[in-house]
Amino acid sequence: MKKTAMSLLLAASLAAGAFAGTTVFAEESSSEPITLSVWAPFTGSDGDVLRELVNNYNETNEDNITVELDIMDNDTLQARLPSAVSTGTGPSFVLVGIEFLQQYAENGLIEDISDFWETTGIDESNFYENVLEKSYIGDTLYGVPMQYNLQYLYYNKDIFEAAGLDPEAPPTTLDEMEEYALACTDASKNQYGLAFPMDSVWFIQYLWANGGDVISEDGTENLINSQENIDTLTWIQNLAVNEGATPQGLTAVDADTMFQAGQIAMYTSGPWNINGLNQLGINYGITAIPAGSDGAYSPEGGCSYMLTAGADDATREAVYKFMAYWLSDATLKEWSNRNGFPVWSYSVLEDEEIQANDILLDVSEASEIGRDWHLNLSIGSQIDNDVMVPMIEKILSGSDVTECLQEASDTLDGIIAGK
Amino acid sequence: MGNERKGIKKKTSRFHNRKSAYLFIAPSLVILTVFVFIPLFGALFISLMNIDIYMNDISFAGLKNYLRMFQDQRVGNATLNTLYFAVLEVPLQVLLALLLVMFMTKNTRFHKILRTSFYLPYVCSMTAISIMWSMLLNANYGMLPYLLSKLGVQVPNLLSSVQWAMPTVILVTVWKGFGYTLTVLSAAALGVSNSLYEAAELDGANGIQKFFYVTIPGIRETIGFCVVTTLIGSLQVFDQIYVMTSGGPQNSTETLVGYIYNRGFQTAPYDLGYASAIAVYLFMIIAVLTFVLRKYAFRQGGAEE
Repeated sequence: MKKTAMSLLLAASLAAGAFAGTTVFAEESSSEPITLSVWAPFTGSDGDVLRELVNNYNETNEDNITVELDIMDNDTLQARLPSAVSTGTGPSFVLVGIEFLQQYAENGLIEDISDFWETTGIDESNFYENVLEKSYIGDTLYGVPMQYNLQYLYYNKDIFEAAGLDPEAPPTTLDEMEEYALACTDASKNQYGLAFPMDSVWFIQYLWANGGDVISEDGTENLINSQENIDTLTWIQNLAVNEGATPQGLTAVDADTMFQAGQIAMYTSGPWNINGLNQLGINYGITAIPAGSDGAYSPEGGCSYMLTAGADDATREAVYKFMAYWLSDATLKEWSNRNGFPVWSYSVLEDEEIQANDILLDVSEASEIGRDWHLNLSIGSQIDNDVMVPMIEKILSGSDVTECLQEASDTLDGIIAGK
Repeated sequence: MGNERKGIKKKTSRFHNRKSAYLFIAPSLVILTVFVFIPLFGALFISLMNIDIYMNDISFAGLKNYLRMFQDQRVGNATLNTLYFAVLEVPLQVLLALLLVMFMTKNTRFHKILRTSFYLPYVCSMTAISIMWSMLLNANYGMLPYLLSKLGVQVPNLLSSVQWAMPTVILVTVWKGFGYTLTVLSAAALGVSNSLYEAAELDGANGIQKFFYVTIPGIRETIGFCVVTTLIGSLQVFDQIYVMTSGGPQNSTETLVGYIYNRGFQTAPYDLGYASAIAVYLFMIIAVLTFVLRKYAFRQGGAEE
């Protein structure tokens, strides 16, 4: 009954939460030592860079601020945060995906930080508007962006060359991608042109590329059961099942591993793999998601720092200072250079070192096709977990596409209706 | 007068004995109350509420969560998967341990080393073991499929196969857990009196007969203990499935605890009321099965009856 124990703790936290609001926080001057805690789900190699940058802040800041970084996997963070905040035992601030911002704000987990720009004196116009707007709800600011990313097409230049393809000319259309994938596939060498995992929603960009969609932006209209989606998913199934262009039964982690091992010619992923690929010395390139009949799109993602509810003035002031440190040119440049995340600050974009970083320029160039994938919908995780993943699992196993879409559509109807 | 005094003495000593007994069990009782009884009633209470992880807009739901549960196909699927896991895992683990007990009930250095090596996986983290086996068995880059392919045997991607994922997880669980069962059963078997074996030998019993007619009856209660504890653990299976398959493919390895976690903490609207209703349902299954097993299958003193 491990889970029941968890439930009781949550029940206890409910009672404790009732008293949280009565806590009186003492005013502290900014020169007094203050320790901040931050939770972040950066369990990959980018977490090491984050830790370095936080340590650097601790060593160099003159405000007596110490930031204690607690890295944990995202599931754990999401399970712990609500009860921790409501009992006053949560972190000073969190660093999480922007898809959580809306629900955190709606449920009172994070603070309004609309005075951030004015308080810190940072010029808001120095940053890309499309990145900043992800941390706003209406006119209220709830987060300070830490990074922004899309999904990109990674390709192995050595495999391209061996298959007689130009390693400097990655595919720009889905037709080209199919052609290149088949040219690069050699099952006898356990080498595949593409990687289609069963456990993630990597295919949304291909549905969009051919004019399909899943749900309207306001979350009220089910758009999944369309002819465009039937065609795209049939194309995916054909490549996976009939052409054998992707390994069977693949997970997203497997796809990363196989690309790193030189067994996959092309696959889509975020920029967090760049650091690891550079360390392994893989000869790879990055390009934008190829275009279909309707154009090229890629789901937007990113992370923001958010101040947790109940922060006193001293904590707020100190967290603002750390957020300002993150937005400094030196920090943003270091983060992008080390991890390959696209630059979203105009002043950093002009930096010579950034201009000389080929991979980073490719990533930045490929970041112009961003599209919102249910970032502001509270049912986002339900759509992914209950509709999209089960559907692609079945399609990649060879089930009838039309039936899978109908089943997915029925489930989505239930989710939209709140059942 | 003398009898009265004796009676008072007896009562006083009984009172002192009782007091000592209560003092001895007090620490366990406190721990059980805090970590078992209160959470149990807490879960029961939450299951009757409309409550999400953010604990806003809490209201009384009555039996709504339970009614919804019985209409949810995934609860049915998770129940069947949980029972499938338990029905295969428990006998496999106990029978494998019993089989090895036949050869392990000697206290030579070789047998001690063997028992220790069988016990080693049990002390390792289930997460680490699950990751290790996931990598070893991966059809695309795992060592075992690679070596087997060199011998001409093609292994499918076991953990991504609807048919093979659950049996694979079961085998990994048995591999990790049988060392513990073996240790418990061996200790019990070593406690069986030698005179019984000698008597059996005089009656002309061979090794197998001695095992079935002396060892097994002698350790019957310990076998019962192993079955019940392994069964409870198997009905609560979570870690290895979460790491190795995340309940997939196509929910073929999704168990009740996995689904509780999914509804409560992984998928919006993070419905703790509903997740708690499933937890209470799982508790009822475990309670009934444990009661039935203890009452009918492994009664105390059953060996003598």
